[in-house]
Order: sequence, then structure tokens, then C-alpha cells
Amino acid sequence: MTAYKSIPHLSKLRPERFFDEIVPEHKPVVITDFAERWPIVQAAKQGAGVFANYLLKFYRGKKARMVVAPPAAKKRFHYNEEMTDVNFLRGEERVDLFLGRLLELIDREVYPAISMQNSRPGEILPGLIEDNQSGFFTDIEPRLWVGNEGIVSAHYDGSDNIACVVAGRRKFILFPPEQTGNLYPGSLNFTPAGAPTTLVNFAEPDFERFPRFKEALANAYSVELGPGDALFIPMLWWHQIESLEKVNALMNYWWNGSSAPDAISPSAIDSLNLALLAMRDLSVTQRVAWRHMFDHYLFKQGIDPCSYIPKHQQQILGEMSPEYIQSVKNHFISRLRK
Amino acid sequence: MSQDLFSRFTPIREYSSLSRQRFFAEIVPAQKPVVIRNHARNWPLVKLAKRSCKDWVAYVSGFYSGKKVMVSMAPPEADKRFFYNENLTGLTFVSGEERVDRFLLRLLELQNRPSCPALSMQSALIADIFPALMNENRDAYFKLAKPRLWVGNRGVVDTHYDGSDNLACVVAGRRRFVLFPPDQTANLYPGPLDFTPAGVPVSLVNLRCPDYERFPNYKLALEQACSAELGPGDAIFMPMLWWHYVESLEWINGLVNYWWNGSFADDATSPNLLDSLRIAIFAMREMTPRQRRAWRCLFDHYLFKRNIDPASYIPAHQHHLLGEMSPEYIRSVKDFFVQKLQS
Repeated sequence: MTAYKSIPHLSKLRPERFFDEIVPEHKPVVITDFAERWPIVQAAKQGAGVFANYLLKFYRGKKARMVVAPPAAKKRFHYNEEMTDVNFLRGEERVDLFLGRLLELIDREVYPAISMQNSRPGEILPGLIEDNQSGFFTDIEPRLWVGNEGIVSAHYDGSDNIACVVAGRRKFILFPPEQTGNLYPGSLNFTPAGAPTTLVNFAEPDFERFPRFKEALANAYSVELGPGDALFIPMLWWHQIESLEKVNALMNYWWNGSSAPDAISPSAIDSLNLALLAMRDLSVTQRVAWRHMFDHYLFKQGIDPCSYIPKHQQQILGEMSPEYIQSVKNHFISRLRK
Repeated sequence: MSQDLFSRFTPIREYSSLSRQRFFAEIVPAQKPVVIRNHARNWPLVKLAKRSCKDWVAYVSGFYSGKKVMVSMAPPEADKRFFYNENLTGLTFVSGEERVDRFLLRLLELQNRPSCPALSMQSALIADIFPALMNENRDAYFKLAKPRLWVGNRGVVDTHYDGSDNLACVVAGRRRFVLFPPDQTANLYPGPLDFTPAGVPVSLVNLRCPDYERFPNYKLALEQACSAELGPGDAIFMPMLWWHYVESLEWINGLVNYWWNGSFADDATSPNLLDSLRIAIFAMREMTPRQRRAWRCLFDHYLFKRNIDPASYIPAHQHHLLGEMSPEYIRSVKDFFVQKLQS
């Protein structure tokens, strides 16, 4: 069995301390009492039926996005075998019908994995957020995830993330960004759910095809969370999330990076895609040479260029006015039109 | 003093003859600089330069098309440098258009003056100014790449890199080259990306008179520096992104160079390589150092291929930007990002 590293647990954490001290550390932490008083958590603790009825109090008839993976997928929402497509179906469904189906499947022996992913409670369950307020986020709408047993393969998010279990149990496996190469992440341009995803099946790792995954496992963190517990997953930390019960739910908050309300366009991942385009004909040796330029000016691995270039010549390296930002964008547009 | 400085550097590996086949099959892929002595010994351009400056000028002028070129002039106070001014608010030199024949005569005129400006005609396309010159000065390596001509008196082009591979052949006078490998980038204190003396970022360190207090890590770069002095007919291969300082040493110096691959390839990518860095800087402008470090892991994997090539374990039909791209696909990716930038 893999000996996972443990994640520090904190309780009675004040939001100021979280944002000022924990977030800048860029390491995961568990916040055990993040949502212990929420009515949604209280309802979930009383059973699946009470939980479903609690949600339905807010329901006004709007459909939400769902995914269904057949039993053959073994609960894993992923690519199909040949990687020509995904192994699950997407669609829209009424939330009351979905919850009814979820309860109905509890007693089945063979059943599909079904999940309502990344839905906006403000739209589909108006009033739910107001009933379950977090002191950490006042102006960010959380996303709601509800489903039976299922696995979302390890992927990263382009934002910081607090994921709070509100019903059932969830197992998280996390890897720091340095493990990227050892996780054999798949295509950037065709992904199961928007983010690049590891090709390794953690349930049955193929170590012959993916020998470096052993190294990733040696650096993996894991935690299992129940209702009211939250996990801080920093931007770009790889995470697999497995929901373990017949009825599980999660609310999460994304902030910073690509999910920020004032998110920058192009995004960091866009810039990686454009660099791949620009460097498509370069040999590995030449790419490594360019890496030194990126390390210096972008990743600031040594001396910050702004420390020795005078302010009036920092341009793109320093503070940019809205007008300057627009002129830079126009320049890039003209380059891309060629 | 200056002689001491340059004799300290490691000499660049030299060849006395190197076949075209070996150059492209071995030297270029290795991406290490080499000097090829007497590469162009049979060129009339080289033979005449060895005879006299006047003969050389007369020879090239015979091919002149009459087209004007950009020439740069740095006053004596600039100490031969084509660089930033003291406060980095402008440059030490001015540029303007001039007839090549007049420019060459001016160079002859300035010979032996105790104090004179540094004059330089940089990277002029030979096909524009001396259309038939290369017919009798054929390079053994290049048939398609477009040669460029650099002519000037004593002058310094400070340490910079090119976004392409470069074969530079001295055809008149003498030139001194000091090269630093790409891994010395940070130790060279490279300057602004958006305001540059000649289109590419340049080291802010004055190689002939380094300010170690301002640039302490430059000492580390010096340990990795290599150097060579070239005379007429000698060529040097400078791989893409190798930083290089070039100093011309005589009253009249000429250089023919070929850029290929990278930003000077016939099918050069747009956006180019430096643009792709600028786009990433732009996209990550609000990220903290730790977030940047995390993104570096992703760039290291997919772009710089530091671990295992993603194309080796992702099936070919899902490579997209990681594999071969059709012109239509490239167009669609560019259009996608134009839209993103407009939103």
C-alpha cells in the first residue's frame, strides 16, 4: 500500500490568517470545521433522504449539467480506452429527477456513476448559498458537486481552491507541481473536463508504461474528509478526488488565477499553448536554451530583472497601465494574425 | 589591460576545415560554438581585404545597386559602444539612411584619425545592396539562407543573443567574439525586453569595464565565457541564444552572416519565440513567486521537455500542440487566441 504523506489539519482558522499566512505558502491544508454549522452539512448528517429534501427546498425547476459513466468505466470519469473520446456522457437534467435517481441507485448492485458537476447553486438552487455562508468568501459563488461513488482523475486547476465536503465522504490524493512529469499528464487540448489529466489509472497503475509514477506516489499526500471538512488545494497542485459513499456532495470556492473575476486574458495556460506553437520547430537543446530566458524573466529563478532594470524601462516586466496593457494586446493580435 | 581581459577566456573549439555535411549533421545539433578557420579563404571578398582596405571598398562598390541602408553612428564619448545611454532613457547612437558607397568612402576617410565616431552598417541584406556579390563569393554551407553584411570601423556590439542559429564569417578587418552559454542568462543581467538597442535584449554589463558592485553575479558568467579573434576568411558558428559580445578591431571591418532556424527561418513562427515569452510574462503578471514556480513545472514538462517527452506517451491523435501541426490547425489556434485577446 502506498504510504501517503499527511496534510496538516487546522481548526478555528480565521480567514485573515488563512489568506495572509496559509495561501502564500502554496501548500495544502485541511480546515476541519470549515462548514460544521451549515444547514446543508447538518442535513447530510441525518441521511441521504434528508439531504436530498433539503436541497429540493431551494429548487425552482432549472436543469443542471450532469455526467454519467457506465459501470464498465469503474466509476472513473476519464478518456475512453483508445483516447478518441471520453468514457462518460454529458447532458442536462432536472435536479429533482437527478436526486431521485441518486437515491434509487443506493440499493443497486450494478449501477452507473452519476454526477452533477461544477454547478452554480445561485442559478439552480437559489437561496442555498445564503443559507450556508462561509466567513472566508463573501463575494465568490461556490460550485456544487453531487454524485454517487466516482473518481475524477488527477488534474490541476488554474486557481486556488477550497473544497468543502458537505455530504458523504471524499478521498483526496494530492501531488505538488514538481511531480508534473511523473504523473504523465495528457493532452493540453483535449481533456476530460477542461484541465490536463494524468493518464495513469491510480486504481491499477501500469508501472511498465508509467514507471515514473512510482516517484510521484512517493511524494503524494492524501486525506479523507467528511461533512464540514474543507481542503485548501493550491493552484497547480495535482489532485485526484474520489467520492466514497452512495450520496456525496462538495461545495468549492475557486479564486485567484483563471477563476478570478478579473482573470487575465490570455491566461497562463494560454501562454503555454502559444509558446508550444512558437517553439514547434525547436530541438530539445534549443528549448532548454530558451528555458533560461523564461527562468530569468518570467519564473524569476534568480535575480528579479526589476531589481536592476530602472523602472522607466521595465515595461512588460513591471506595473502596466490599462492603456499599455491594451497596446500589448494589440501587438500580440497583430502577431497572431500573420 | 584589455588584451589581458580577453586572453583569460577559454578559447572556442577550432576547425581548419569542416565539411557542409559534418557542420549540419554534427555541429549544429550539438548547439556549441565552433570557429572554422579559413572557411572563406577562396572568396575574392576575403582576398581583396587582405590586400588593402581601398581595394576591398572598390571591389564591393562595383556591385552596388544604389539602394540606401540604415547606418548607425556613435560619437567618440560612447567609447565605440552601440548601447543604452547612461540612464537607459535612450541610446548612445543615432541611425539614419545612407548610400553604401558614401558610407564606405567615409570609413576610408576616417582611417588613422585620433578621435572618430564609431560607424556601423548592420545586418544589411546583401541581395538588396550588392545583388551579384555572392555569385563569386559562394558559401560552402548555405544555398538558400540570405547573407547579410556588416561593415564598420572600430565598434562594440554588447552582449546579446540571436533568436536563430548564426554563422558569421569575417571578410575584412578583425573581430573579437566573447560568448556565454544560455545557462548564464541571469548572470549577464539582461536588460529590458521592450526597449532594446537593436531588437534583442542585451546584457547591461559593460564587458570591458564591468561594475561588479552592481552586477556581482557577472563573475560567475565570466567563468563560463569563451572567446575567439577572427581575421578575413574565418567563420564562427554561434548557436541560438548563446550570448555574444562582438568587437570590431580595425579601421574597416566586414562580416557576412547567415541566420537560419528560429526567428530567421523562412517559415519563422509568428508569434516568434521572444513574443511567446512576452505573452507568458503578460499572462502571469499578477502571480506570486510561488505560483510562478508552480507554472514553471508545467512549462518544464510540456514545453521544455525536461522529464519525458509528452508526445512519447500520449497517442499521436491527441498530440495537437504537442505534435505535428497542419497549416490549417496552426491558423485555427491563432484565430482562437486572437479572439481571446479581443475579449
